[in-house]
Amino acid sequence: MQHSRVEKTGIDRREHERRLIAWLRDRGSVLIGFSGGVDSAYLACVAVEALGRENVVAVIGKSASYPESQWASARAVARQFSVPVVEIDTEELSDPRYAANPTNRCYFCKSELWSRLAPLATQRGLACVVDGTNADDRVDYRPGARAAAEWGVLSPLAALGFTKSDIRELSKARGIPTWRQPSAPCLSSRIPYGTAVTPDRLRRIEAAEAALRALGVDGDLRVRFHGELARVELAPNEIGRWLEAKLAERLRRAVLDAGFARVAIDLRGFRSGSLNVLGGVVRDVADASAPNEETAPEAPAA
Amino acid sequence: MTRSREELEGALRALGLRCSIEAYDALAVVVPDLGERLFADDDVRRRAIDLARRYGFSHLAVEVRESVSDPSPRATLPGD
Repeated sequence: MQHSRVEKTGIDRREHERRLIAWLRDRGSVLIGFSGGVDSAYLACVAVEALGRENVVAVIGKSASYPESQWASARAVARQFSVPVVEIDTEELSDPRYAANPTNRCYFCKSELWSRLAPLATQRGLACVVDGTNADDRVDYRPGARAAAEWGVLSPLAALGFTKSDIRELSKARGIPTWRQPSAPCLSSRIPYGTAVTPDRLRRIEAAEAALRALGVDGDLRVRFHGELARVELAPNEIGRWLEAKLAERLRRAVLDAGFARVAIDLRGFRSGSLNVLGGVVRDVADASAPNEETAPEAPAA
Repeated sequence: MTRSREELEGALRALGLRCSIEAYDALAVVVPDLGERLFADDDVRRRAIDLARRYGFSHLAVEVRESVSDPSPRATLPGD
């Protein structure tokens, strides 16, 4: 992507932020779809500063596909930066079109989310609903974006050209702890398209990832679901040490204890949208995740 | 590109990596005869990944097993 290859200075980024603040003030008030991830956390913090907390509501949509650790992170950021938060339970898993896990699964999830948030914004007299989609996201495969468009959800970070890198740098400058947080898309993104999403499968995936974090896995991590087999994607520079006998056995035990019968470590490591490639939704690209290379930023939605 | 489990298995064996391969669409799972630790080496992984791509697999993973002498039967994936 050309815009992410052009190195921006701190001054460029601050100018971006000034434009974001102006954009928010033009609206006057916002309801934010708030996952607690890098993008929506930054947007929420800037919105509170720009509009005052009485004109901002950040809404967390909770379901079995939303990791507990992400929920804790979202609440911690909200507390630290005085972001008013509302939590609602979303019911996407009850929608058979979502649970069947088609390639446009995210559309049904986001339709559920925005169908709940849009009326809430109206009820609270807030001018618009916004999300944390950034400019990098626009080139990814994101069926959820169609749902956002249908519900009139605005994406100021994307519209103003904020890349993930910009958001991380600006978050760091503001002291927002999510600046270095690995991206954390919903747990359903670990299940291959066409394989049903169920609460039990999501629970096993979440438990396995939590156990591996507790063991000391650092950086990007995904436990991909393949029936009885868990395929673990680690940051490429972490793979070697976790294949050494002692750590491999600890990793294996942790994943088996979470409810899987077999464990495999992916030799290419973490790849954003890995299951999009496996499902044939997007084409495989040149080996961008060879050992010891940096990983690409993750897509936050799916 | 033609996907070939057998050719990938043969190519890995030719590299000295004694193993069998299970294929699930574009995912190849290496079941090593002598444990997974051979793949801890960056160069071995890079060469194995190159071979997997050459034989039509976008994903290559190595199974982590308790022990090569583990007598318990190995669980199988659906479709095995």
